[in-house]
Amino acid sequence: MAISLFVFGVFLVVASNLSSVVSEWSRKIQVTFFLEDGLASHIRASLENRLRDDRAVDSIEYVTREQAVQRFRSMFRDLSGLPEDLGESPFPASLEVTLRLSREAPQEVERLVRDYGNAPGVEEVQYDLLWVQRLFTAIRLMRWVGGLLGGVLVLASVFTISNVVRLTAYSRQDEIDIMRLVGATQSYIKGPFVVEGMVQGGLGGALAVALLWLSFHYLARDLLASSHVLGHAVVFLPYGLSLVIIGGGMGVGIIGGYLSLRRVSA
Amino acid sequence: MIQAFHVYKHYDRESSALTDVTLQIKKGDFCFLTGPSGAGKTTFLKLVFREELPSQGQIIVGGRNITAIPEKQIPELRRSVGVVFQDFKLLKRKTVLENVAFVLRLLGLPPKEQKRRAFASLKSVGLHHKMHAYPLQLSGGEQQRVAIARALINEPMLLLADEPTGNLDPDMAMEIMALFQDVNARGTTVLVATHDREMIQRMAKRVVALDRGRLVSG
Repeated sequence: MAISLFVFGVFLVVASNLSSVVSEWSRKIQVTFFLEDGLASHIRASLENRLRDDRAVDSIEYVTREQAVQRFRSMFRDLSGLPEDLGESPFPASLEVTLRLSREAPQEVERLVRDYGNAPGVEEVQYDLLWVQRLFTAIRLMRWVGGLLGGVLVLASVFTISNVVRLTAYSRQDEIDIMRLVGATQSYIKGPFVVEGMVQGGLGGALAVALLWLSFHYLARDLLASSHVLGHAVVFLPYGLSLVIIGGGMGVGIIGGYLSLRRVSA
Repeated sequence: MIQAFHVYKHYDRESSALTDVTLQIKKGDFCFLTGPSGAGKTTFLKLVFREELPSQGQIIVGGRNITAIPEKQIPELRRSVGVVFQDFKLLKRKTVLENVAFVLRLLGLPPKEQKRRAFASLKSVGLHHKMHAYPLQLSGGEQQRVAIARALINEPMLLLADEPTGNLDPDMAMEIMALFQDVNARGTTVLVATHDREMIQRMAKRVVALDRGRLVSG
């Protein structure tokens, strides 16, 4: 039981960290609209306003030609003299549009390109749809694996607890029979067993969180020496999720305790 | 109080524990159910408090057709019937007092009242001095008396007793019968399964006789 919840907890730690990484990455879902040279500022402003009102858009950054050169210089120090060599800045001004993180982001990228690609003042649009699609496939896969793993582990826990409680119930079968014969209701008889399941489940959950915490602090963190994965700090489960594991353990225990008696006392 | 109509009970295909039993026991009656071992006495009692269902036929107890009542109403039926089981059926992990008080606990009576009445019931069977003992520390006869105290504590509408004096000496057996008569006088219908002919003769009550699952008299 504790082991099932522990494995589930490990998955939750990984998943919660990965989802932070993903949300970090998803900030990179950008569509860049390169603007025509010498574009009148009111045309640019109207394009910016239209984009800002779009439901898919999270933020917009206007990058001037000069800023583009600066960026190039800071990114490629060896080539910092190149713009001067060329005589004039080869970089056009642009609007960098960051999308909201949503399930429809890949379709939204396509729509934005379609809707605004030919707007007045837009010279070219740059985007990486494949990257976006891969990212979202990865997120979907993670959710599926998580759901599946969670489901299997919950079932395993229910089965384990119901068997443990059933063993107790078998050893007290005579007592259960007598209680029934003198008029005890089903709930009166089942109550203590359900409570037993709940306590066991809760303890299993608490043990799992404790094990998880210990292994996180003494093993996993050392392994991930710098404690950074893809530029993101690895953190332990949020407080709420730890409670979810304990509460989930109790819930699973209640179900297990209840199921165990269906056959015993029937 | 008890009406049985053409009741059959088969445990397997070849043999029949009860065959076409039709009888009526009126409210307030005191009745013996007799017959040799294997006659079907215990089976009949089991059907009356719904430990088992008849294979065929109808049984009405206290105006309710117990062959048709929903599962949920069974505990209520059992709480209104006091049963002295042949094998006593005492809770081994509870003291004598707790065993007797258990029925009242199920009824939700306050703990003080449970104890007070359990003590009184144990006193009536002469076992109040052993109230803190556990069933396995008692002799067979004493366990039987605890089972009787438990069956009587709630002044049930119906008392079923399966060989309640089987383990008792004749004096104690007569004392228990006197107790049954008292409770009967207060309105409880009493049905006692026994093959103790001497006692049946001494008590001079109605006798229903079974033989190999069939009603032969009564």
